[in-house]
Amino acid sequence: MSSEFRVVGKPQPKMDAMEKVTGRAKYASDYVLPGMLHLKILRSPYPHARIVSIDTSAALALPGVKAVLTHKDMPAYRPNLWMPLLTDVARFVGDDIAVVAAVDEETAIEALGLIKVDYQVLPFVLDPEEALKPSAPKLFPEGNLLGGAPTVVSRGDVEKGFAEADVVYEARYKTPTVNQAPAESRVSLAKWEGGRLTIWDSTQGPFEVQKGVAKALHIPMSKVHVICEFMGGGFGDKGYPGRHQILAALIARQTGRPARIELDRDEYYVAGLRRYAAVIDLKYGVKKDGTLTAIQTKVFANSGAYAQFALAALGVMQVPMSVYRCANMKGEAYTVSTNTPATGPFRCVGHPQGTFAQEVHMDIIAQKLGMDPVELRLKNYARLEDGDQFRKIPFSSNGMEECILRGAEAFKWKDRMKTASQAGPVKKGFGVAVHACSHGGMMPGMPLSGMVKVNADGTVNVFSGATELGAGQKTTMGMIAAEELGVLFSSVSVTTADTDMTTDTGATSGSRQTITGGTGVKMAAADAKNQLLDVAAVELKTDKKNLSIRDSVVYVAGSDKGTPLDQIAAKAPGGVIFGRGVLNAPTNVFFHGFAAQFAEVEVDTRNGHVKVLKIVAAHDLGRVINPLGAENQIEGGVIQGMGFGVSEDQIIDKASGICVNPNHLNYKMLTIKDVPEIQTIMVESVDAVGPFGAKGIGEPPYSPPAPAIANAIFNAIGVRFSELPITNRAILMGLKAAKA
Amino acid sequence: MKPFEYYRVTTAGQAVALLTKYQEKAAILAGGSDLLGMMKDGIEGPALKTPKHLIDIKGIKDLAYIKESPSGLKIGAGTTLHDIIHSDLVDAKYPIVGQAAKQVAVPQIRNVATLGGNLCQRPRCWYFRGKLFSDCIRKGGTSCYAKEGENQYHAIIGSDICAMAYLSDMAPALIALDARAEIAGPKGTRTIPLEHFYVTPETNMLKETALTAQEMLLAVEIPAASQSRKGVYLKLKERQAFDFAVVSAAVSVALKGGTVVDSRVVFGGLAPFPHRSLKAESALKGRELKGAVAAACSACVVGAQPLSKNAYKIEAAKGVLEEALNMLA
Amino acid sequence: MEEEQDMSPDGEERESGKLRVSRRSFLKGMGVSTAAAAIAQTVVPPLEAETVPLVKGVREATIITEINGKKYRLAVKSHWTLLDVLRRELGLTGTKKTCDRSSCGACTVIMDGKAIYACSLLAIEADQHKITTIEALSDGENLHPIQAAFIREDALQCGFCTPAMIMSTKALLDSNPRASLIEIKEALSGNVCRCAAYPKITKAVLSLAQKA
Repeated sequence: MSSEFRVVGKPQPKMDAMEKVTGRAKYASDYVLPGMLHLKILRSPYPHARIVSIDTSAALALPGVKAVLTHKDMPAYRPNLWMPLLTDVARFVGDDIAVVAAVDEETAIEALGLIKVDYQVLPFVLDPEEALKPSAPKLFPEGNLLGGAPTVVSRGDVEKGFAEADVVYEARYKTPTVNQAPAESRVSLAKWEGGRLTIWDSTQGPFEVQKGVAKALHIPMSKVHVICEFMGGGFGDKGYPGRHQILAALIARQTGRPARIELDRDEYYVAGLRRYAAVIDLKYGVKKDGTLTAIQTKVFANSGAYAQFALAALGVMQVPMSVYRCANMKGEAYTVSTNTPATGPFRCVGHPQGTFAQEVHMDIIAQKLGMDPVELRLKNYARLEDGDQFRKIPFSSNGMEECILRGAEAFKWKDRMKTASQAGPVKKGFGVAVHACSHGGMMPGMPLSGMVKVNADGTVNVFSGATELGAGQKTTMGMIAAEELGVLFSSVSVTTADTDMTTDTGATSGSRQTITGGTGVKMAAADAKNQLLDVAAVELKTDKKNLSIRDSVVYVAGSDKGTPLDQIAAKAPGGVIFGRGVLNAPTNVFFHGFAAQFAEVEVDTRNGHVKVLKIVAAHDLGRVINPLGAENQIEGGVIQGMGFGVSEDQIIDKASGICVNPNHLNYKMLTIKDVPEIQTIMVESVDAVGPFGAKGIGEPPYSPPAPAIANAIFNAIGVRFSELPITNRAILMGLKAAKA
Repeated sequence: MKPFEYYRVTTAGQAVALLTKYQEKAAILAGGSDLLGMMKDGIEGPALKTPKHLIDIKGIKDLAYIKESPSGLKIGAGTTLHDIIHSDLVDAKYPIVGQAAKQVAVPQIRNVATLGGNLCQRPRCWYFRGKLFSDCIRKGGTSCYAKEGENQYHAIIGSDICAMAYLSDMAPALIALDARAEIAGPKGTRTIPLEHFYVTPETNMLKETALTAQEMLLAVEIPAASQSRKGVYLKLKERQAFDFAVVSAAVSVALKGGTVVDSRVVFGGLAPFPHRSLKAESALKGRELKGAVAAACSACVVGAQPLSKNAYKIEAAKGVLEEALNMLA
Repeated sequence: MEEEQDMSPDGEERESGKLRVSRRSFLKGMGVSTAAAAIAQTVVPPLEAETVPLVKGVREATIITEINGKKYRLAVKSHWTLLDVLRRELGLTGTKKTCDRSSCGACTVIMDGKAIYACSLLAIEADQHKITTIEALSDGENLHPIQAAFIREDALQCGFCTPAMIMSTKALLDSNPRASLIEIKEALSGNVCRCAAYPKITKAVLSLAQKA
């Protein structure tokens, strides 16, 4: 399939790798400007408290302090519906109360200590089910249940479905609060000069930041320039403007000096947005032959003090309601505020939680039916013709079956189940999990664009508002444009994430840029190609339809002799070939990240240690644009997802609401020594919408590892875990309970 | 960090003179990976203040060494863990020491971290290390937050007053070899068994070691007699790098045929001090090692008083000891 | 003068988690106990502590340090870390700050041939030492073989941890050019890559070790 392409499908090292390996790449945190002020935030030590009064006079009087702002000084703008820029009611330990700007960091820190705050401490609530009780302390007048009522989605008749079932099984699952913890913190440097604001930012959404800052400061978008050439990871936390960019912009304007804000790592753990902890109740009905007859789900999302999404819990519900086909479904989703840090996307909203719950649930059902877990998946997965039952849209492609079958084959699923060794204290086990949810896509009115310029020498510049997060977005845009235009990839340069130089194509999140940004540059490249062929038709005295471009050479049909592209480009009227791509999607289109993952683990029953030996990850990418980058994404997502399964957990002390592990030592991200062997299989279902049939791949690999590992652990030691993370203490207590 | 006075000393006497003058206001700077982290976090309490005088001891010539003598092995407190790991002498004659050193943290830390720093480390309890938890009893406050709080990593033995678990890797391994600690103070040097170098919260809840504010650790001596015992150090960790022990065990046995003539069983991660399990040792004594494993494992947790979230440490301690004893059998 | 402290139960097993405190009194918060001379202690004549003049402390100093082969004379405050000085004073921003607490590796540099965390070395401690940062490894387009291997094998994603990962690799291969897979993983175990490009990082380093 891929052999028909000249660029697409060929492994390509990252275009910006040189800058990264040499240390020359400048991230937002590396920029320094003369006269730069350093900003520091005063944070609430209480989980819930009203600010009765706040006296900043001593802080302002400290030499070197140039500004101290509180809620009284803030514009009306909010980064999300509930989150004020600086608050007059602290709603979690760490909530932003005031900001200090000083000539250096030490002075700013000293000034923080001089701000006098009179707090009226209020009762607080940390657990979502507690928060739903009428007696619970309210974070907002509207109450703790966002939207005032659960979101209910249903189809068919679940009670009828349960009545038809031979086996009905219900269980509760819990997943923890986890932190994106990217290597680069939230950092912004804002410079105000001549009525214009320049912001060097570590963001996934430079245009989102531009829009937010313009709105907050009441200045035109044209006067806000956001730049993000390199950024040190986001994983969902940095898709929207947060408090810090706005505060930096406000202070830059107020003082006339560049304003820099960088959150310390312990601040990062409580500021920003993290993945909400979920409590998920599943009740499924199946026939003896494994056919699902009813799926019922209830989700409680602990969305913290300030939720980025009012309907965040729906993200979890999506999983039970779209991965498998079933006529009778009902779901109730509760998004609940509590006095804990704010929540938002982290490599998907809700899928990791929902996939863990469902894939363990299905494994238990397989066990009850005496059925091979892979067979159960094959029986029930939603086919191409079923469509996405949750969003009620068709699948633009569906590689699920191939993922399951090729994955099982590579993993030797049938054989391994037979040879599982059980003698001795160390037990091996094998597990499977699938994934099929919708990820980012196109929606009417959503920005989708790209630009391509062909230079007089035939080389090409590509401009995309996508951000290079490390997933290779820059390289992917370049490859798509090169393929469409017919030029050598080596002749292409790509500019990304600059609000002056590129156009908005939506935030780089939801695994969407291959489809959205990719379509934008593909259309722009097609437009540029069209203009080139117009010129070539004149120069080569032939009909346009006889012309093609391959490897930067223009060919006339029937002749092997080509004309180098520079000879054509140099003749462009007005000296410019400029391609424009814009699409207003006619309907909602979401791509689906079908996947099947298989895990092999070893459990040491003496000390509870789980060693994940191998993971086979089969993923449907539609069409692989860059196999090298795609494989890297799959491997990285699998490892991060494994962390969600076995070690990551942001823990809050119940008596005080204080996070006890806001650091890299006790918030446990996996190291190179913890990583299993990973085998990736890339399935190409050739998507109907994506450029060259491609879909995204950033998020899908993250969801299946946790349940695949949990299922493998069950296979090894016969103990089920319905809560994450599955740490060695969970294993030991589980083994002890099983013995009793 | 807040500003402080930095001193570069070239003799232990100079260091002790400064400690004598500044006492709790001073701190020894060796590798710095523990001290600087605490200073950056600003961990303070009614009885704990950020040091204002940092005494850099890396310039003391006779503090970093590994020397053999007829009476045994002596390791200077300033010896890096890297050097201990790469010592052929340690590897050949006292391998349990190298095993423990190898499992500390990560290479970058082992390259600068010293034996003394590892033996004198402060607790990892996240309430002790949490700036907002100001009433922590070990910082001079009045309560132990861990008792009713997030105590999954805390002690199951000796936790009545303070529930922290002492997590040094070098301490259990060296105690298992009957090591002795050489301490320098204004009155001279004194040497005490390393087992007695650590204090219980009942004795002193503000510090973990027997050092007064005017003293520093000079060296650790390992008696030659301990060479005759076979030993192993096992460390249960969640991640295979960076992590402190969940539970660790240093086991050293003297065997005649397959019979245990003598043994030392020392745990990290179970108590606020390295915990030597005399009950496990007596369950082993005089018995065939293979056959005594189960009894020793049951014995090592007798009397444990788990907190709400750390009962698993009872299983973990038994499991780690079982694995260690089977390796030596 | 503080009294000697005798901490040991002297062979008594702790029962029921409670220490039997028969031989010492417990004074809350004071840390002083009555001395019991049962533990033999070896005391030798005093060190010269009583007659030693106090070493002078400094809040700032001028240090001489060689960074990337170039000698620098730097005025530093005692509480500045090497990381602060590299990034802020010298503009060598290739070395990154992620945790600033010796728990992530992003600040790895090489000092006297060994990989260390720049965030936990005071700048003043770098006096008379040789430091190598990522900036030393390339000269324009001329890349160190480690850098070339990282590009070729796509051993990076966002790149923030990459300079440090390369420095840890250099420290390893300089002293152990034929490192095994286990040795490679051990050497890089102190470098967290949140993007988790670990498989390709391992492949890149292995390719260099196997060629050696």
